[in-house]
Amino acid sequence: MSKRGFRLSYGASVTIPLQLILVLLLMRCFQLQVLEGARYSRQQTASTTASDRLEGSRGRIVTRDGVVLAQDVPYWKVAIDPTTAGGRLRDPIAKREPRLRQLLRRAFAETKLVPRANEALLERQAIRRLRDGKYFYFLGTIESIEDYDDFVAWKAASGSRRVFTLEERSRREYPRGDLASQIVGPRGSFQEYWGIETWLNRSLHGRDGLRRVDIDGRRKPYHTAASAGVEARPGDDVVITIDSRIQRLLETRVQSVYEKFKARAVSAVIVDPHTGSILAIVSAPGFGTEDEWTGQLTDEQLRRRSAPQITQLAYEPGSTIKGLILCEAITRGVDRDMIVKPEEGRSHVFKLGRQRRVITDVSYKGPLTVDESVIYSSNIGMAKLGQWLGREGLASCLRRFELGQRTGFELPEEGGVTPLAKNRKWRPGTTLSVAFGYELLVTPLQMVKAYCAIANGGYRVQPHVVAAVGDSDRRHRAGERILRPDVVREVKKVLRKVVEVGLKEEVDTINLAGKTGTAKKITRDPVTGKAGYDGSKYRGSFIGFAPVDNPRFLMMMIVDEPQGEKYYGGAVARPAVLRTLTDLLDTDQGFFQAAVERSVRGSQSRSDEATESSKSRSSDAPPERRPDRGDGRERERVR
Amino acid sequence: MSSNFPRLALPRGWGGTRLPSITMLTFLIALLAIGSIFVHSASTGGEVPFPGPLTRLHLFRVVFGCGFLLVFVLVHYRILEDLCTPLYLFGLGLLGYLLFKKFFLGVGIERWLRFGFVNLQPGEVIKLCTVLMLAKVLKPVGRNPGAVDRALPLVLVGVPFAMVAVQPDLGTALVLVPILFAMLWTSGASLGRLARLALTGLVIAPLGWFFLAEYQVRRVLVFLDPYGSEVREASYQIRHSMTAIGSGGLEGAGLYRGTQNTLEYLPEDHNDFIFAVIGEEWGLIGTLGVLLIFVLLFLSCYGIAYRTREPFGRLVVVGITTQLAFQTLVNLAMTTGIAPVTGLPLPFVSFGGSALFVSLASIGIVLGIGMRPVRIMTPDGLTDGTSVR
Repeated sequence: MSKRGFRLSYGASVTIPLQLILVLLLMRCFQLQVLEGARYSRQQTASTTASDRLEGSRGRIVTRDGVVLAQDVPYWKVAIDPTTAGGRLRDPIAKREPRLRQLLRRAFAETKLVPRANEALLERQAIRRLRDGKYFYFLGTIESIEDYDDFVAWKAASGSRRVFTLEERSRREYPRGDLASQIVGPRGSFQEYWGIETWLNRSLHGRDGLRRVDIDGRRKPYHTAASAGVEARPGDDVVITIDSRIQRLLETRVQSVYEKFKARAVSAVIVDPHTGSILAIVSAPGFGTEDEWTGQLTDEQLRRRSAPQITQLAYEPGSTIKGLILCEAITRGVDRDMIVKPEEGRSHVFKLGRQRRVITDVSYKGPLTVDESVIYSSNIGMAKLGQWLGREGLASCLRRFELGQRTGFELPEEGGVTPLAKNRKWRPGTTLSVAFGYELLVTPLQMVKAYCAIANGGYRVQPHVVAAVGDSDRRHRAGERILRPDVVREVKKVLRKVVEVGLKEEVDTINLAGKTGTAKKITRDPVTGKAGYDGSKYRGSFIGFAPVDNPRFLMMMIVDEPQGEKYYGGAVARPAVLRTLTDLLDTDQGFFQAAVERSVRGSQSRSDEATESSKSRSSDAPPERRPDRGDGRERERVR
Repeated sequence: MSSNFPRLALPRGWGGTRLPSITMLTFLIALLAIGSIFVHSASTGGEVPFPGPLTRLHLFRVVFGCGFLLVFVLVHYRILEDLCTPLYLFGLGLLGYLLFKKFFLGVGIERWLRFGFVNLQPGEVIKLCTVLMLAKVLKPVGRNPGAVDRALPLVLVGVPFAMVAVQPDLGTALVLVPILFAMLWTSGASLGRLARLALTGLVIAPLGWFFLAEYQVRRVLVFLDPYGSEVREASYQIRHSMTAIGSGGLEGAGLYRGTQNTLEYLPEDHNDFIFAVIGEEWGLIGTLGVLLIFVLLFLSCYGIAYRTREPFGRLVVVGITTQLAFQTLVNLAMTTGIAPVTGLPLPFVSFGGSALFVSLASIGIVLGIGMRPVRIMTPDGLTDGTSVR
């Protein structure tokens, strides 16, 4: 290069900064695209795809007679993109505003869109969103599949496919309101909740799926991504052994008893004694009537969906245990003509070593045999029988009927305590107390289970409420024999006699057999702080089955702290049981005929029908998911 | 030779050959073509056949700009020299009108003047006017300038700098700084003087921080830490720009296959951030190619300056080239995340308006100057382009 002319060196030097920056930029591009290229690619993929959660529709809860107690109903949330409504983004906002307004008015007028607020307000808000350049505004919902189809057609016809976004959701519906709500329970995963919804949540919930979608810069999905997601799997239906009509009847009956005696609580359960299937279960207070379903559980309704006392109450069974003690005594060959209450009088002094214990009967009776002390519910007689059986005999009775042990019910239940428990002592007085139902805590369900064995001819059953989950039938066959047939026959005679003796003005047409019970409650003295039996608070109960020879139903009712003069189980609980079972068994009432027949057929066909009916229902139910109609570059929210 | 009509021969550059100007024109056309393609890609994502609505407008402007280029090739630059002062004052007048509107009519940030269908950006015009004015002032200044000679260029740059900066459009204003330095250097200012000037500038610059608008402060913060939580929202552009370039990798996603632009992730994708689109769709090959094209183009321009012995012409060519080069490099640095967001478009490539017209006109002036060498007697004989002074 020539050195002539001026500022040669300057001439070249002007380019030096340029060349330096060039090298810098080259290095930067190399760094971004080659060295860190992979990272940015990942970032790009992450920012351009999103996973869309596909909710597996939740299974239904169906009673054995095919009534849906809980189900998922699909609905669609409708949103509008105010910026694309009313023309291109490049158009001035003033031009797009009237178009947006017109489109909104048309949508409200011509479709079944349920606006979530006042239409004029929604319109104003949408316009404001347009001015602010917001892409999303939630308008309202579409409630049925027909409306959904109409809306999609309307979208296409009005040329606003990209403007409206439809998102499928589902909502839990309880079509029969509070019917059997204590078994159904509320939906949720909280410990304090109870019921099928919570405890069979896994089966009901199914599995959520994932769908990968490509999204654009406004995070709007425009088509399904090539990479496959995970299919959603719908949850299993749960068929429960509850019979909706029996449940309905029992709820009414329990409520009336609750009101009549102004009791603190009333609980009742009806069981098929051959299988242990629970046909109805309820506690008052804590359930409502069959309210109109409003679409949402109120707080009050949520609170009501708590566990019934039948499984949660650990109580001293009192006289109802006497039937079970009798079983043991007969099994051990007691001489039933033995006079166990020797002298006349209402009280008797038992000498236990140096201690003396006075046991009192409620009613005055002469000398009583073994059978009679059960029939007249004599505590003195039973205490004597307890002494005859001894600790070993009573312990065998508790084990035979599995008292104080969880029954294996599907929902949470209390266990109970017996003197056989590790941390308990069998004192001399225990032999007396256990024989008439004190010094042990059992749940009503355990008593029901024990009496089922008497009712069904001597077989142990498993109380249960779940008949089938999805396709798998949960068959509960009768368990091992725990009572000899001759023992059962004899005990049934005695229990029948209990009812016959107790009947006053009531008419028994159904051959009811059972045992009453009245137990003093233990309370804590508010002044001294000492716990002890309260002479004024009782728990009256009755457990019975009918007809006595081939029982179809076994029912138990507990009335907690009935107010008024009558507080005996025979007075507060038995009439209601008798009436309820009469209603159920009275063949003149064709309404319950079907339920009765199913009950007689027993376990083989118990749950089949419910499953069948649930299947036939699901076929005409709306399809769960819309097919994905998105293709290649179509930037349309497909659902 | 002082004919107003040039000899229709390409100017000579480095080494006295015409190769630099051939490459320069070739690369200019290449850049315009690449620009059109990527304006199309960025604005439509290739969903419609080639000239989409926006691209059609761009192409129209390119053709219109080339008309400008031709005009400035044909008009003798001596006429420009004579018109320097009125042009400069006209430019200042436009800026003044904008400021009047801003401060007295309260129209907020506005950088455009609308004349019927033309949107004129005074900031773009003033750059060219300042270059011409500086050249005229610096032309007679030798190695030993007086006090007025030293002060006048600073004032001539300082006034438009201040007026553009308060618009506020700091990016455009900053372009004037390297122009000043390059032209002072070319006019023979000593290294020491430039160093003193630079030092003074560096001392004053931090004070400017307090005058920055909020969005400008944010841009600097974003530049310092684009992934910081405070500026996550503000750094959106730069993050997506870097993601776009980085995800292009070696070969790129392919034309029209970019995601950041077609899916509307990248705002201003057909404008200031068009290089990010090129980076994503053509990869490293595309970015390096475009970089090299730019640099060779500017080196060719500097070559023309080198061959131009007439001081006014040389100063103008250096000023124009420096302006274009600085603008280009700042844009690329911004797009790749090594400089704050400034809002400077990429010359010849970005979707154009005033900037495209001014850039093409500038290239026209460069060519015009190169095509009119001054013949002058030296002791060695008659040589093209030797200075008369």
